[in-house]
Amino acid sequence: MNQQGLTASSAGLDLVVFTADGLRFGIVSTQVCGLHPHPGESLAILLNFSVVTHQTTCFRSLRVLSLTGERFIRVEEPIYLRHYFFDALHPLPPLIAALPTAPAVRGLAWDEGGAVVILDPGLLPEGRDRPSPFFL
Amino acid sequence: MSHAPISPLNDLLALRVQAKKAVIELDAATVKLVIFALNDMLYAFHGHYIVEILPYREIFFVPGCPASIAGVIYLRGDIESVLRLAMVVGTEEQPLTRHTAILLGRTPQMQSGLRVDRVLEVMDIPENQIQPPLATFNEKILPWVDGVFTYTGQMVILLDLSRLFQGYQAGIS
Repeated sequence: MNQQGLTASSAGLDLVVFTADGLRFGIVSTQVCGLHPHPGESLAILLNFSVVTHQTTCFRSLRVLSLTGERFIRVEEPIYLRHYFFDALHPLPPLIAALPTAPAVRGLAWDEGGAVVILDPGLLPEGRDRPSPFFL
Repeated sequence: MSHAPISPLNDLLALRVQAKKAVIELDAATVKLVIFALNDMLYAFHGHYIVEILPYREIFFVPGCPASIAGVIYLRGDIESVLRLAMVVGTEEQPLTRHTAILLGRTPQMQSGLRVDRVLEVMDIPENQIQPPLATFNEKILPWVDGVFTYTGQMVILLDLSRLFQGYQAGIS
């Protein structure tokens, strides 16, 4: 996580949690500037994964801080702020951490709903820099 | 005393020597192996690499993973990746059944879950029953094969998990 994301106290971290293209994601609250009604970029396209399912038809855009300014990410409601204690935050397992394909995926939080993929929006690829999918 | 019927004694002693050898063979060094199925083939890992055998549980996908990584599972406060072992060894992954299991493998360099179709047995096998791998094996897995042996009349491919993890990582990096 970049310096801006290192606002967590030893007690935990506040994440803005949302669903996007069928997966649950979280972004450190200090990297989120606001919500907007207009369309944003799809995380499925930016991170190269297949859309599992859309939970809702109610889409919003999350305005987040990136290295080049602000970006808009398309998210699905519900969108909420939640505090995750230290024990609920996990680094990526070594096999996944070694992958070069999704640098914006920085870790995982775990709650009663399962895994929340922690994103660093500052490391999301630009549209033209998206990694190509690979298969092994 | 007659010297004629010595041959039966020699035969008997020879049989005793053979019998003793057989006993010694039973005491030969053994290795603990975890035998499992992927599609219609049997494979095994050395038992010391397998920390735990878990029943299948929900796996959560993580973006950026290749198809051969199913995702992550939550295990007593820790997160573990899960590798689709069938895809790694180049065979077709079977649909989920009640026998589907996750082996938690640990080597000095790496730890990960490994999805398998079925775990058959954890057993000790005399080392001398493990034969060198056949040269006709799939080239993809040959560097990871430690040997082969038979289990209930079927060939089992013994894989070295440490080399498999290394080879897998080299392939995706």
